[in-house]
Amino acid sequence: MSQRLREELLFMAVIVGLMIAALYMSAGYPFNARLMPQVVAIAVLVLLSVEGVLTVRRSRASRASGDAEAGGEHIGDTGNEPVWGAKFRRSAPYMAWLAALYLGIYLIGLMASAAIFTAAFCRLVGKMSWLATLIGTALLMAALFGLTEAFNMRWPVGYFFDPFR
Amino acid sequence: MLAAAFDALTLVLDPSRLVFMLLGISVGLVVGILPGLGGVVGMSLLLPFVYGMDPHAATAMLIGMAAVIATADTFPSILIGVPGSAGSQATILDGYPMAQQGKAGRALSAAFSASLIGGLVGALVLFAILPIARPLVLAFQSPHLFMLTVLGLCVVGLLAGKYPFRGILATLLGIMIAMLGSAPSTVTFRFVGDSVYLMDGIPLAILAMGLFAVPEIIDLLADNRAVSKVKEVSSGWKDGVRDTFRNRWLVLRSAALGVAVGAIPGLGGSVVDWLSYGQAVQSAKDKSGFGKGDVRGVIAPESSNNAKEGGSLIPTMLFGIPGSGTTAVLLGGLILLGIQPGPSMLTSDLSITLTIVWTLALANVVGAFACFLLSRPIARLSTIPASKFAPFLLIVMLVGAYQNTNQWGDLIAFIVIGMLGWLLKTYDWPRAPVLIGFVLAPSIERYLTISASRYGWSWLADPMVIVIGVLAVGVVVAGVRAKRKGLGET
Repeated sequence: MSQRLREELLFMAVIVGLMIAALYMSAGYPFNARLMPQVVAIAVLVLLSVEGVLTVRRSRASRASGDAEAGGEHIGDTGNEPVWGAKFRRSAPYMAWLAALYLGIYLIGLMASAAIFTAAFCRLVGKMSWLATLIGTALLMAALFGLTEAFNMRWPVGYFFDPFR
Repeated sequence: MLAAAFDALTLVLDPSRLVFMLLGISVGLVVGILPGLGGVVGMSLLLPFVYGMDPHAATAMLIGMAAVIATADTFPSILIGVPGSAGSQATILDGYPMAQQGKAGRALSAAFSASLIGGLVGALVLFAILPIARPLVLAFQSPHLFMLTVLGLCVVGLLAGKYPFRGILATLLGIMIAMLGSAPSTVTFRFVGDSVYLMDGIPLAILAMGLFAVPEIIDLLADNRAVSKVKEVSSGWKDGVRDTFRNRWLVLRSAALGVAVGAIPGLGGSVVDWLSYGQAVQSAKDKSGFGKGDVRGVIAPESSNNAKEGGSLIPTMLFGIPGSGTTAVLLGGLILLGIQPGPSMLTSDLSITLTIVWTLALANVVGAFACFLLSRPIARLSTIPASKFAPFLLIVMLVGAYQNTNQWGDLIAFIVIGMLGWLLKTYDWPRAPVLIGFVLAPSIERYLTISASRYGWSWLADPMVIVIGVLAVGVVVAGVRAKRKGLGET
């Protein structure tokens, strides 16, 4: 079984688990509330079992024909390298940036985090000049303050402090 | 109808509303120009801001945004060979070679003028179809609307993505996500546990942004999409416009095809340009230039992908069945504004419908002229690498997400759904059906409840219900067989 197939089946298994949980949880609801989720959950389980079989067949057929692209293995992946792994490795740094932004919002609020995140990202990832970074960040902050005033918007405040509160 | 149309035009041209249409057009131009971002992302960015707005101004803003994306997405397609959105892929085949030959200005002007005509044809057909559709739509009752919605979901599921069952499964997943929160007609909170945030369900804007924008931004950054240098766009503008008028029948034929394809739920977006390109090649006497920089290969897809917007609004507004991810978010926006798509769009909300038609027409004109006038700075904008615009877009999205309920739950839901969208994209599961299933879930449940409570089970024997049901089964069987053949399965 290829790594790609294992990953796809694992993804489907997670959906199966969620649908079984939905069936279990909805059993206690009144008829009108449980009808739709139960019908949908059962339909998902039935269709997913068909799709699971088709996915295995597709994977076998593509391996037999040696057609990596038809089997879903993306161009650029080497051999049996997992798609998720290859893609995740490329995406992980940017997910980490996103996680850092969330941590910043949690700690010091959105406004301050937005300023720091934007400036840092523009400089370190975008390789923008200091001037362009400062102008871009200043414009973004001005837009945020403008929106705050115009629409009386609220932002998440930090757990410890929020310099813009 | 004509009097109502002029009233609607007065509403649209009111400066306090016109400014919102222009705002929508501006956002649409930027979203269209930036490769990888499309109508769903643009709609999702604007959606959080429509709360509490005047319905006419809000619809003008949303439609203005959606209408011009198909015009602006031509820039990256022609200048850098990267589709600005799903509907401009075929434009690359001849547009990019033209740019490489130093004919970028001619290709762009041909594309903009064809887009303008295509968009106007789409708006005209939408307007013309209203009086015809009125008695037809009003004849539908809850059981028929339920079955039509099921049919629409089947079509959307089958046509989206490579694998038919994954499309249908994706619509069902969307419906399931919509089940989170309070159940209609009973005082029950479904699948929420102890979460107060989930009691109102997941907001549509968060689902749309999470599913589409987060994966696109991460992938754009991860691919480190290098953008080539700006091509020369200063010459050949008049030639391009002349090309469009010289090929006027091709423009009109492509526009008609665009409207027809757009009106079929689930088909529009990513196929309309290819179908149109195909018919341009087939109908041409001299086919030798296609793929090497033939202007007809630019004109046909650009005319059809603007016209499809008018077509896709027909099922969205009249039956409440969105034909694409963009119209699904639009549908959600209309519901947020207190407008219920369906028969009421031709009665009590007729002015909104006509506002949409006018906005579609005006936005196409304004969008095309803006592209002509701003082509040089816009051409430079299209070369901005993702790493330079991603942080700004990300902050705007987070701000938009947080405006839904002003709770941390918004931000958590945004990122969780973003990761779900990224996984779906990674494993070739279509995401648009998830959104469409989510938007249609309340309607399906409502139509089913009304049908069951009013007619018992006798509605299942209604002839029209049976016909639509048979049609749905036929569509599924035919679609699965066609896709399996296409994939080379036995």
